[in-house]
Amino acid sequence: MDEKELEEKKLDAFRVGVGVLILLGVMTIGEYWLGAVASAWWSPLLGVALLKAFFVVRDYMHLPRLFAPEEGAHE
Amino acid sequence: MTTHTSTLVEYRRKVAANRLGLWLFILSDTFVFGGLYVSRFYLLGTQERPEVSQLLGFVVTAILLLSSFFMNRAETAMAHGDRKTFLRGTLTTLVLGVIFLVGVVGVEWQIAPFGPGDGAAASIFYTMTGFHAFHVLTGVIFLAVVYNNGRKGLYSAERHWAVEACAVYWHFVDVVWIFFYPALYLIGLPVI
Repeated sequence: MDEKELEEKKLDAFRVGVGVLILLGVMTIGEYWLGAVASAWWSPLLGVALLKAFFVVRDYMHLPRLFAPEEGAHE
Repeated sequence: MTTHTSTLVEYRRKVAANRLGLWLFILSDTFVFGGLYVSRFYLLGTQERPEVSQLLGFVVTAILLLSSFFMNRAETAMAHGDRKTFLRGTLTTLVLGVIFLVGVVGVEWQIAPFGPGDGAAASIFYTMTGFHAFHVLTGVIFLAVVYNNGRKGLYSAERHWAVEACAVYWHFVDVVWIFFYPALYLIGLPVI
């Protein structure tokens, strides 16, 4: 893999990280607002938490790597 | 197959086994945190929560989420051989982790109008935040070790299992807080 290709891959991975951060930020603000105006609505709050956890586990913790054949996680 | 390639293949096999071990540890820790989470709802239901600062809860949550972003950036950088961004990201994560700890243990615990022995809501609040804070502290120590080793140049794009393990652990601590935050700060009305 040449240097340019590697740099492009790194930037792509960085972009995923930024995308997840934006999603988490928006959902956390929504969660805060929901908690302030309707604290009894526990199910939407739990739903938001599940969604946030899903993105972190998939994109930050890279759960799919666990099921990848041997290594090659970053390839 | 050259010696270098065969050693790398061996290393990758080892990493695959290590990864499974780490996830099994995370699964077992999830049961402990899950027990605490269920206890909170068993004791307080969905109509009550401890009287804590919602704004502070929001701020510390934002800090922890931001730290996860920098940890991901650090790990990604190391996986692509960018040592400088890796070190900067790891250090930023560490600092944000310390700020989170100060926010919860140093500020929230001090301003809370109740002590650990003032009823079920107080007790579960201190247990959940305390147990989580201890994990954050462990993560901060882990980050410091990884940062120090990174400065010595012990990791490379091909060999950086410790960085990955540290990142996965740190994100796990973040996931736990993703569930604890609404349970402690948002759901229900303050009771004490």
